[in-house]
Amino acid sequence: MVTTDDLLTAERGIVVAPAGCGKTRLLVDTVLASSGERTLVLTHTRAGVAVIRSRLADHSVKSTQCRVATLDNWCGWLASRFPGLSGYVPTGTTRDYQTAQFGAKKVLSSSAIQAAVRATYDRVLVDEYQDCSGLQHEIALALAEVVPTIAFGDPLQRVFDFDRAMPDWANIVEAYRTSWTLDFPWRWENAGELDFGKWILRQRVALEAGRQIDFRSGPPNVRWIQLPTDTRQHRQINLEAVPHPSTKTSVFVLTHKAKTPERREFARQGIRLAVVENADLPDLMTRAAQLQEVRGRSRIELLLDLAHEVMTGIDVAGTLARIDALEKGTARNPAHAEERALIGLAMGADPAELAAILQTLAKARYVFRPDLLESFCDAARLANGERTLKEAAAYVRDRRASLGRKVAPRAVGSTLLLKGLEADHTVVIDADSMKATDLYVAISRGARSLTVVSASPLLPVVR
Amino acid sequence: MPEIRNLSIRNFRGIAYLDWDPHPGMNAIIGPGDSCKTTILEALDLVIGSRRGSFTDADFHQLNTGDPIVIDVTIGDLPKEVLNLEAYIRFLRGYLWGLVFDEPRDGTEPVITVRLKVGEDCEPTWCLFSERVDPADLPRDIRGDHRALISAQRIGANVGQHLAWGPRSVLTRLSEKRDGLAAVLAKANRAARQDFRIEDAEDLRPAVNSARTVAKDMAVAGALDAEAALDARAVNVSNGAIALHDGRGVPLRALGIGSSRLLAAGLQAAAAAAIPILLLDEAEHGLEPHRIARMLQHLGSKAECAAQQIFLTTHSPVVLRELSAEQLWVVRRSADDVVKLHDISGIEGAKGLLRSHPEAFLSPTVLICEGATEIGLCRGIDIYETGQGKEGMALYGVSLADGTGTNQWKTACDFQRVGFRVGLFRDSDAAVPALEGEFLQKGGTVFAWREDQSFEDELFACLPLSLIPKAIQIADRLRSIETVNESLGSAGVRKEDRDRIRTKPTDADRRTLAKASGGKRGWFKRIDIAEDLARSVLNVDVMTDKCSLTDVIDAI
Repeated sequence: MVTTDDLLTAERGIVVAPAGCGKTRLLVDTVLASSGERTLVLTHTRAGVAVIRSRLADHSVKSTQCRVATLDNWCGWLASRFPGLSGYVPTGTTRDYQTAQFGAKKVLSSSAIQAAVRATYDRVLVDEYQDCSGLQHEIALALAEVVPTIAFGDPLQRVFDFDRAMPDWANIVEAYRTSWTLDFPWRWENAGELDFGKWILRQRVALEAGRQIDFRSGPPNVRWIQLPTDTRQHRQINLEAVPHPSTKTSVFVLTHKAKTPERREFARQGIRLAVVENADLPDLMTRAAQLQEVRGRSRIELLLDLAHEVMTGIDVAGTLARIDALEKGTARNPAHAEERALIGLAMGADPAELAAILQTLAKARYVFRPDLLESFCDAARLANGERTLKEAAAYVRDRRASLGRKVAPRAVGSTLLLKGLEADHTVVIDADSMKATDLYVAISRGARSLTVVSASPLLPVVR
Repeated sequence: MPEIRNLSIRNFRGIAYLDWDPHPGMNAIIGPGDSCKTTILEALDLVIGSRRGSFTDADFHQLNTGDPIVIDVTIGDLPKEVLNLEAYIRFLRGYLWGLVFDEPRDGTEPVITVRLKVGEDCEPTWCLFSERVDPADLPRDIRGDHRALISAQRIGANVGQHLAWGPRSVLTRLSEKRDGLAAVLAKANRAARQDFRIEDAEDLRPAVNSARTVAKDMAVAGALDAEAALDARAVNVSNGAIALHDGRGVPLRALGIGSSRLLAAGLQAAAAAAIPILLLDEAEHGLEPHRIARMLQHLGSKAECAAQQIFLTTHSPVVLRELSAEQLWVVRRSADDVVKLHDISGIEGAKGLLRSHPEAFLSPTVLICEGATEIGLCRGIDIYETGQGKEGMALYGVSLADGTGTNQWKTACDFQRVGFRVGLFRDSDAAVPALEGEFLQKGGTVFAWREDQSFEDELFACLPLSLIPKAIQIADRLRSIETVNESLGSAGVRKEDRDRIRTKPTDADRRTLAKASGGKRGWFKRIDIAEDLARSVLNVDVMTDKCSLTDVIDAI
C-alpha cells in the first residue's frame, strides 16, 4: 500500500490509480503532509482543478502552499511570461494551447528557469496522467528533471472526444522509474459493497490483459439485460433498465460518446434524467450567437426552438401558427399569458426578456437540459449595452468551468463526460459499441449497482 | 549570498552614464577626487539600502530634470524567495558575462533588477524592472520581507545607529526575533515606572502634599492619595534607546570614530547572513594601518569565497596593500560625465605594484620607471627640487611605479588603458618593443637616454669630472668599497689606479667607470642609492646639454 511518505520521499514516481481507489484523497493527503513545502498540482480539466481546490480548501490549505492549475493553463502562464524564449504570445480569446505547450517546453529547457522552478516548487503532482499528450508528458518529465514529481493516472481511463496518438503507457511508467498501484476499492467499501468493488477491480485486470468481461457471472449488484435483434424494442428496454425516480438514489446512464442526439432523446422521455453538457457548452455558444441579433418573428421562432431543445412539451410549429393567427386577429381563443409574452418578444431587443420567457415556459414543463437552460438564462441576464449576449455566454461558460461541474443526481452522459464522477447506480446502454477503456469507465461509476444493456454478454465485443 | 551583478546609473548627480559589473566579494573603488566614488555608493544605498532621501533638482545630472534619474541594480545569486516564479516571474532576467538578458535564457544566471526612478517631480519610485513589463502598468516593488534578503547596509559617517537597536541597525538584524525588540522596550518602560520611588524624589513631596489638600477641599475623592509617579506617556523607551554600553555604562557610540566603525563593520560581517551587501565609505577613516588591515581581513578581503559583497571607497595606500588587484576598481569620469570603472587586475604587474607602490593607483599620473635606478633617480630629484622650494611630483599628482624591466611597456599601456596619464622612464640599453608606438600614440610620454645608452653610460659621460668622485663615494658607502673595487677590477682597472679614479678621474676613465658601475648588479641599482645619487650629485645645474636627464627633470 502506497503512503504519503512514499510519495514525499520519492524523487519521481507514478501512482497507477484504478477508479474509486482513493487517488484524489492520496493526492490531497500528500499536499497536506508536505507542511512548509510548496506543491504544484497539475491536471487536465478545470473541473479537476475545482475538485482538488475545494478538497484543499476543506483542509484550509493556503494558495501560497499549493498551486492547482490545468497543464494548459500553467504552460500558458509560463510561456507567456517569457515570450522571447517561448515564442508564444497569447492572442486573447482563441488560445493556442499547442503553441503555449511548445513554448513552455522551450522555457523549461533554460537552466536559469530550472533554478527558478526549483526555488518555487518543492514537488509537482500531475493528476489524470493518462490524459497527457506526448508533449504534455515531455513537459512533465522536464519538471521531473528539476523537482520531485509524482504522476497519478490510469491507462484504462483513457477516453477522449477524438482519437489522438498518446504516449505509450509502458514508456510513461518506465520514465517515472517507481510505480505504485492503488488496489483498495474505497468507493465500494464506503457504500458497503466491497465485494462488488473487488469484482470491478478484477474486471479491470481482465480488460488490461485484453480479455472480455462476462456480465452474466457478476455479483448480485451486476445485472445484464440482453437486447433482442429487433431494434424497435431497444428504446423501451433501455428505458426500463433505468431505476425509477422514486428510488431517491443517484443514477448515471452512460452511452457511447458519439451518441449525443440519442442521449438527448432518451432524456426527453420523461424518466427524470438530465443531460450532462460538454464542459465548453458549445450549444450555449450557438444559441447565444443566434439570438443575439435577431428581431421580430424569427426571435420568437428561435426562442421556441431553444425551449424545445431543453424542455418537454414545446410545440414549436403549433405555437408559431397560434401567434400568427393572433396577430392577424383570426384566432378563435384569446391569447393566454405565455403567448402574450412571446408576441411581446418580437417587438423587443433586450436579452433579459429571453431569460424571463424561458423561465416562465420552464415552470409548467420538465427541463431535461437544465445546465443549458440555466447558463443561457444567466448569459441573457448578464448581457447589456457593454456586453453582447455572445460575450456574456463566453463569460458564463468560463465561470462555470472554473467552478467545477455539478452533475444532476440523475444524469445521462457519455463516458467522457462522466469519467471521474460517482453515482449509486450505473446503467450502461449501447454497451456493444464500447472499447475496453470506455467500458471500464462506464462500469466503475456506480457504487451500488451496475446494469448493462447489450446484445452480447461478453464485452468488449471483439472486432 | 545575493550579489550585485550590474549597476547602471543614468543622470544621477555627477554621473550622466555608468554601467558597471562589480565582482563578488570585495570591491574597492579608487580614483581622483570628484570622480563620483561616493555617488556610486550613494546610488547603491538609495536603491537597495536605506532608500531614504529626498531628491532635489541638484540630484539630477547638470540640473537637467527633463531626463529622469534611473538607477538599476541587478542582483544575482538570489535567495529562494526572490527566485520564486509565482511571485516574480515577470521580473526574472538572466545574466551572463556582463550581459543582462531580459529573459533568463539557458546558461544564464537568474537575476532581478531593482530600479529607482526619479522624475521631474523629484518623487522617487522604487520598483522591479524588466522590459517585459509594460511601463504603463503600475510599477511593482519587491515585497518588504524579500527586500531585506537582498539589501545593503551602509557604514557611513554616522555609525552610532549601528551600535543601538534601531529600525535598520545591524544589532536588530542580529537579534533572533525581530518583534522581540518591541517586547523588550515595553518591559523596559514598565520597569522604569515601577522603579521610580517617591523616596527618591523628596523634593516633590511638598507639591504632592498640597495637591492632596486641595483634593480634600474640593472633594475629589480619586485624588486624595495622589502620588508622584512617572507618566507612562512621558517615559518612552523607543527604537534606538537600547544601545551597546561598555562595562562602565558608557554608551559605545562615544568611542572614537575608528573604533565605532571597526565595531560596526565587525557586526556587519557577523550579520553577513542577514545583510548580504555592505557599503563602506572611506574604509580607512579613523583607523591606524594595523586596524585597517584587521578590519579588511575581517570583512573577508582574503577570503576565497566571500560571505558578503562589499563596496568601499578609499584613498589609502594602506587599504590597497591589503587588497588584491581583482578587488580594486579605478573610477574614471570622462569629459561628458560617462563614468567607467576599470578593474586593475588587467594591469601587468598590478599584484607586485599593489605591495610596492600602491600610491601609483591613487594618483592621476603615473611615471613607470624601468627599475630601481630610475625610481631612485626620480625620487632624489623630487626631494631636491622640493627642497629648493620648487613644486614636487605630488603637487602634479604624479606617482612612481616600478615597471620591473621589460614588463614596463605592458604595464604602461595597461595603466594608460584604464585612464591614467602615463609617463615611462626607461633605460636605453635594451631594444624598444613595438608597444612603444601604441603607447606614444595614446598620449604617453617616454623619457629615455640617448639611443643605446644605459644610465651608467650616460651618467659617466655627462657628469662633470669634479663630481665623479662624489658618485663613486656614494657607491662605496652604500654598497661597499670591496664591491666597488671588484667591479672596477673586472672593468680592467688596475689596483694602483683605483685611488686615482676615486680622486682625480679623467675623461679617459669615463667609459671604464660606466662599464664598472653597470651590468646586472650595478652600483646604482637600488632605490636608495639612486635616490642619494640624484639628490647629492645630479642636483645642481651641472648637466651638459648632452644629458637627457634634464628632460626628465623638466617634465616632472
